[in-house]
Amino acid sequence: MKRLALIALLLAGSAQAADLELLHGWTSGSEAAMVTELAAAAQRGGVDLKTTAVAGASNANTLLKARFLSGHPPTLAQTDKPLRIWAEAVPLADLGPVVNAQFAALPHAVATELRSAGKPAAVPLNVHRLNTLWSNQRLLRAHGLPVPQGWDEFHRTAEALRRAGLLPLAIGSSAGQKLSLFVAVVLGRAGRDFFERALVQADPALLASERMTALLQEFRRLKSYTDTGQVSRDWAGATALLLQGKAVFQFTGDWANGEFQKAGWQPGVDYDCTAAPGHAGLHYFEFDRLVFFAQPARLGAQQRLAGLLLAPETSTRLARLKGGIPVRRDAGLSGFNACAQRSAADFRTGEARGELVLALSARLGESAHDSLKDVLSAYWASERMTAAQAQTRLAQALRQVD
Amino acid sequence: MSERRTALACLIPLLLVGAVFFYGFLLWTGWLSLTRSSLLPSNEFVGLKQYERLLLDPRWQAALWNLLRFGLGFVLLPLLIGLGLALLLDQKLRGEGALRWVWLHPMALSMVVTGSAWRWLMDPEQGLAEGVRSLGWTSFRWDWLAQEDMAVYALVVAAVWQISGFVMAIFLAGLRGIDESMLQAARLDGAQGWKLLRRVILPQLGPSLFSALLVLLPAAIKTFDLVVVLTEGGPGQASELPAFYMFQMAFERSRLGLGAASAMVLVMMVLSIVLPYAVVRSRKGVA
Repeated sequence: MKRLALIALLLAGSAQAADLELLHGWTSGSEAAMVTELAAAAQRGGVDLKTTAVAGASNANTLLKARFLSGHPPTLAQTDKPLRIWAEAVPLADLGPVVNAQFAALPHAVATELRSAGKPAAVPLNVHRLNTLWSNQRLLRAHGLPVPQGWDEFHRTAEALRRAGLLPLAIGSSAGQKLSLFVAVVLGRAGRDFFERALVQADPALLASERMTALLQEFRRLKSYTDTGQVSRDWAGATALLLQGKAVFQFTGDWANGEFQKAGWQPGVDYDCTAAPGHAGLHYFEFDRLVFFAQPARLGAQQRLAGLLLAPETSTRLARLKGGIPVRRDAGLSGFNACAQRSAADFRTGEARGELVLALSARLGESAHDSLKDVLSAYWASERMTAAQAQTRLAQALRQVD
Repeated sequence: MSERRTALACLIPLLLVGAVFFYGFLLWTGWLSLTRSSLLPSNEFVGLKQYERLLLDPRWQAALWNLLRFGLGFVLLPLLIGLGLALLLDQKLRGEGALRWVWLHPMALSMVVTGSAWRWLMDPEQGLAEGVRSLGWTSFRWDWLAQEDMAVYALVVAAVWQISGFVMAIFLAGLRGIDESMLQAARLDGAQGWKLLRRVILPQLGPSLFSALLVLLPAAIKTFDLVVVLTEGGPGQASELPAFYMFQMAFERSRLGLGAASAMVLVMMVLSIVLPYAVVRSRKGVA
């Protein structure tokens, strides 16, 4: 009986649906705070927005597909796929000239990714820096070691730390973390041009080069600084090892900043956030975004909401809540901590010089990106696979088409 | 006659549901496996392209190889352990009720719970290994979850722990079904211990063995939840099984057609085990 009542309630709830519905997988503390603020901003702007949360991005993705199959897609959704993948599958909304004009305030690489057939179809929420080296400053100071600036120095430091009985590098089990690590090695050792030509354009000569072999070997050398417990923890579990004083370094995106702040650690004193070794000011980034699906009856509300979310103040507030940095070039940075400030400074310099590097996830086809992660995590896990074998598989992976 | 009609009326909804949700979706999956479906289903026919991709995918080949290794352990060990436990219980032990209760207990848990519990137990840093180390054996290591060659056997450990009690119950029922007078006769003829077991008891357990295999083999092929919670297919893809591959391709990655093709291969594998049995049974029924 109770269950029936519940079902009736749910049905009633969906019957008097709001104008717009956002489907997303943002459920952790900071993520939920961002969604709440997003809904409030919509309400202030007179847009009736309902948010539907599903724990975990992949579950949200699965539900999103199911909603399309059942013929009741949401009006907008979080997506981590390149926009063109959605554009091939379903019609997207045209957010109109007003939003298009606002795109002028966005970095070129971001604005390009948000357009489908030249028309704006998605809005960005923030920018996450992926090539960050998080260091436990307390432990480094205790051993008289500085934060390493290059890879050779990183290896020396890590080996010294290992001799001191510490865990030099904390990492979790996901394939994405291995990809981040590999990208950090490639960008730091071989530079941006090599990265673009080898990994994005899949240049067969570069992929087969001795340089690539050396990069893969160096990538696996990093495994000797990690522990076996990595198989059962996520990135936050790895960050926790730094906070517990067990591990010294971690490579992950700037979402880790929130973990340090929650623990009351001060940047520059207790921990540090620098670009990965050899990266200098290079900014390797991805960004959170909402894609709008074509629903002609709701187009007006969609365009209004997109405009609201792109407004400077709202955009900055959402970025601050979620972590990362604001996506607009003209955004103020008050209220962002030192790590975010440094990321923002590098981002703007990189944008001005045209040297920003957008993450592989937004640039490779889905199959190629997934296969790349497969190869790297298999190579990382394997004692047997040689660098040459991994190299062959890497080249095959990047040739995959969707 | 009216009783028949009532029975039919009761069965029809069930048959309809079965027809739609089993055969209907089976057919749909079969169709999807012949299309270009990626993120969402599409009706663009591509023939056997997805099957070709599937067979050439090193991940799928590795998953099949893993299934073979997992399946051997998952079938043979529970048979041995289950038979051993059943024979032990059949000695008219005093605490039989209590022991049976204990050994059947894992059956009450879902694979997800079993997998999670074993994930903690087998954690290389904090699990049982750490317990042993803290007892003084400081060099002790048990890191199957982190080893590409051993991760599959970590799955076997958890699965065997889960299912052995059930196999025991099947064998115990079989043992209890053996005619006592036959055993008496054998004993009179001088059969004892091992000989009695091998010549008289085991041959009569054939049907029990058959039932156990019929449960174990398809279960091995369908194993999915255990992989998700215990190893996530890792390290790397070292412990990936076909059902996990199917889920990843169809739902987590946008390769619905490829996922459907792998699902069809799985269905065929299960059918190749179950169908001969069904055919034999229906022949017997006719005769």
